[in-house]
Amino acid sequence: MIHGQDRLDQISRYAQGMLAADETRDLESALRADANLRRDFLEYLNVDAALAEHAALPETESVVPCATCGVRRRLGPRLFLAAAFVLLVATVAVWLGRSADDGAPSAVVAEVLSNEQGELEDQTTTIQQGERLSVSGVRLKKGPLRLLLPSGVTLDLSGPAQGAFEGPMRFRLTQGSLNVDVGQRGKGFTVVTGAGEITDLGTRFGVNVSPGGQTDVAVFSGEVRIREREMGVVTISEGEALRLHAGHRGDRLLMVPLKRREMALDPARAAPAVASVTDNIEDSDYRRFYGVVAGGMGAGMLVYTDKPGVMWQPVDGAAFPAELLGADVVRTFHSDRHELDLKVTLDVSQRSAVYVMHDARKPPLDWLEQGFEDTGLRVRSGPWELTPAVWDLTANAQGKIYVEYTVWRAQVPAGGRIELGPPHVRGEGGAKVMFGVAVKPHELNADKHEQTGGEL
Amino acid sequence: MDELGNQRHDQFLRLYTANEPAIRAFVRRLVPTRADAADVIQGVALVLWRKFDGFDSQEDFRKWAFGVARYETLAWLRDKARDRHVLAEDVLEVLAEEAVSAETRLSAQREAMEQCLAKLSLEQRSLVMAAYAPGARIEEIAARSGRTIGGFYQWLHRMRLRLLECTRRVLAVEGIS
Repeated sequence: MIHGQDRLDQISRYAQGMLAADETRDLESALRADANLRRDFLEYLNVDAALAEHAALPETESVVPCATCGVRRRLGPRLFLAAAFVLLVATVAVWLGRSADDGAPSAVVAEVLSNEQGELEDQTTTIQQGERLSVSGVRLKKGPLRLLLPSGVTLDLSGPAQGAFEGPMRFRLTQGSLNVDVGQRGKGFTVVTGAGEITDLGTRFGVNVSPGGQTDVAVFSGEVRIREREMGVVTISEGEALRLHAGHRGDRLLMVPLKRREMALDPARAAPAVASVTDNIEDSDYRRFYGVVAGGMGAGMLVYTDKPGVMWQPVDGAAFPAELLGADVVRTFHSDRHELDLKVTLDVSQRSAVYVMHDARKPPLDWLEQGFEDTGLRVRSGPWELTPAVWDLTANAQGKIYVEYTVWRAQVPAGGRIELGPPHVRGEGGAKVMFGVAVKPHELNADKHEQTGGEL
Repeated sequence: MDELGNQRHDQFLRLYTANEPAIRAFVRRLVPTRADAADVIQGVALVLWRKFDGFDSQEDFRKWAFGVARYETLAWLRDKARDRHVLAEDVLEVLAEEAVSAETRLSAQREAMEQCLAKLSLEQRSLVMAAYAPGARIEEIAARSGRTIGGFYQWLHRMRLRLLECTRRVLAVEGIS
């Protein structure tokens, strides 16, 4: 990201003449103090000016697309040529990629970083941590296996998984789950599956190939480039995910199961209570995923998919509420907090309580008051960087800023569907932070978690 | 108008036409909205023509025009500050100064826009261009694209960020800092 997302949102609203007086003063102070922000500000408005300039060109005829009425779209000659050139380059690039890929296994020297409970098929001796191996293929029966490649790339496989190296920077995953961290030197590392190629552009990402060949890709930091025959080349960024099927355009992958202690794919760990999370966003370019962490609720758990570092915490001087401990966490997108029409739908698989954590600075949302009850519990999130979302709050003695939330509960007696409404607080200048979500199965005994104090 | 006057007029038109996008962008970076920029730019063009007699043809026209545009824009904003939320003058002064220093980069960024627009899908590009077309009615474009107005503004913001990133990549490849 170019700069803090909040600041860019603020600049966007400034550029539409929608900034309130206090926000204008806040932006002003930030611009005074931060040369990088001034550069972002100038370049953002420069893009705005350039777009206006392009739209005014007589050769650009723009027609709003309409999915149902079959409007034909025509482009001016310059844009048409540019589009044709991009298409040609993309086609050649895909063809070259495929022709270069002869699928032949290639041995790579790898260091075993961990093999805790990992079992390899056809392996007569146990692989030890720290061992250096010449690896051409991996058939992992069960458990995790973490390998460090000479390029600095870390591959974290979860069994059952199967794959083979096709070069020092190319791994074909035929089945199972793989998290890739490319480190400083591993940019360009490619994971190939039956549905496409995922090339790292400096990042951490996860890939899961189902037995049917469907490929799920989720990006946890940075961005990756995906090549797929029908879709061509697309780039997806931090907090975004796609589901690929060979010969079809990729679909947004809405729910991604995550590990508790790190941002990494964990498809084997199904959340006991959350069967699915969907929303009403129909924008085909919108690829954000809801991260679901099975049984993860407690101090130190990340709140949002797009706010690294902001974690659930107990309020000052109190323990984390036992009622919430061990619930499945659904990480929402902080950047959705201004949405007026957002609806998030949870499919709950068993008798459970659904919890919504709402900014205590704001009055309750209508849909919360109507369908939920206030538990009287409080939690907080943080630490927050000094952004407009928290500028009215003061830092604690340690210099850290936290946002306090009220906790609302709705019982889902036999499982089923529950809809959460928009985060926007009407007439209150909008929401400052997005709400948080957790779901706890009724049968779960919170006392078990009290023994650990809820620490993760 | 005499012969000399005609020549001077032609010279002004040639220089102004060649630099108009840069002047327009300069103004746009200092005012809150595109509608504001359209207001200001009309006055700026008039003042530039009125002051053109004082322009030395050895000077850089764009730099000279930026100076005039900066003065006119700040005066316009001072007037509007009474009833609108505009940035403080000291901040605008710094922004105007830094915009002049960064003009090579900002100009290259605008040129890179065509290349970056071509990387959007046809549907995305059509929607962005429709939203920026003169006299565009956002509520109609949003409705026809199947989005709410708020959703459409959010989408447009994401497109601008994507294009900003793209132009930065183009500039990095071309070695423009």
